[in-house]
Amino acid sequence: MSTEWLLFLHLAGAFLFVAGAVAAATLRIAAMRRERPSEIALLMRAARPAVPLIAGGLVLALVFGFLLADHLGIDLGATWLTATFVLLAWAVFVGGLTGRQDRHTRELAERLASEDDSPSAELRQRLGDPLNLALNASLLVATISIVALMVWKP
Amino acid sequence: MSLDDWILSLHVLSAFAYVAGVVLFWALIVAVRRTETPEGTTRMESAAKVGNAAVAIGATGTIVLGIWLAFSVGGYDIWDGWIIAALVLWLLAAETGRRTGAEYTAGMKKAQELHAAGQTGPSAELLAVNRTRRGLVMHALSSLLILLILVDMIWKPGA
Repeated sequence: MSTEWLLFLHLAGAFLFVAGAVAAATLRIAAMRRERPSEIALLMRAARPAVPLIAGGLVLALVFGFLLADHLGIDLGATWLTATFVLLAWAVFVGGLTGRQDRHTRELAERLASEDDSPSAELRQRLGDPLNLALNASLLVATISIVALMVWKP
Repeated sequence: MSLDDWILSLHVLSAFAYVAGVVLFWALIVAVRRTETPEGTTRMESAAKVGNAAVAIGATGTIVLGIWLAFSVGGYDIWDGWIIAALVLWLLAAETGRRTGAEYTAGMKKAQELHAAGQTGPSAELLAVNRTRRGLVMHALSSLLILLILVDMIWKPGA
């Protein structure tokens, strides 16, 4: 495979991964600013199409990133690449964890919406859970850091 | 790092912002296609504002910094075929993006009108506006044009 193809598939994956993460984060934040379960459920449901983009983008970026690094003779042990791998591992681990928590929150919002759709303290607590928020924020920081590492290669 | 390296980095980061905005709009388009109430439609507004900001920053950053690089980096000229192709594709993407925005803004306006008239229940008319085929086609076209820009940037045909 030529360098151009490897770079294209690597970059396409990176674009999908970052764009999916930003879309999901935006919709999650928009949901936090709502009160009614139906509003929250709608916004959190809207984030669902971003999940396959994040997963698919990550796989593409990783697989073709490795192949590209090998093709170009880049040292896989370079500091900027090691830092990227650590951040990616963190993103996968935390993404799986917060993804599951957010799915439960969405399911609660959908259940409450189908009942009387009145604001719920439990739902508000789940949306504002400090640990979940901190992990989600760390995901966004990790994603931005990965892009910065890839672009600047310090 | 030289100034051109910084500009190139910011050019790439702008591209990430542009694509992030476009993907966010895909999520909103999918969501709004199932939305038939005025309230449900207007709920999307805050996320759409973020998408608009990302697209505006990304599109402006890519074109301005891209033109800078075309003039500044040795070996490339603004009249190179692949750079002209990128400029044309960018203009087409901007126009299709603008038309997409106009289509979905109509749904938002319709929802506000219905809300102001006291109609809060499901509306078949609003659902039809939200399911705009033209808007969907325009956004798909815009996404395809951005993909073609990426192809053009990597293969640089004629360079």
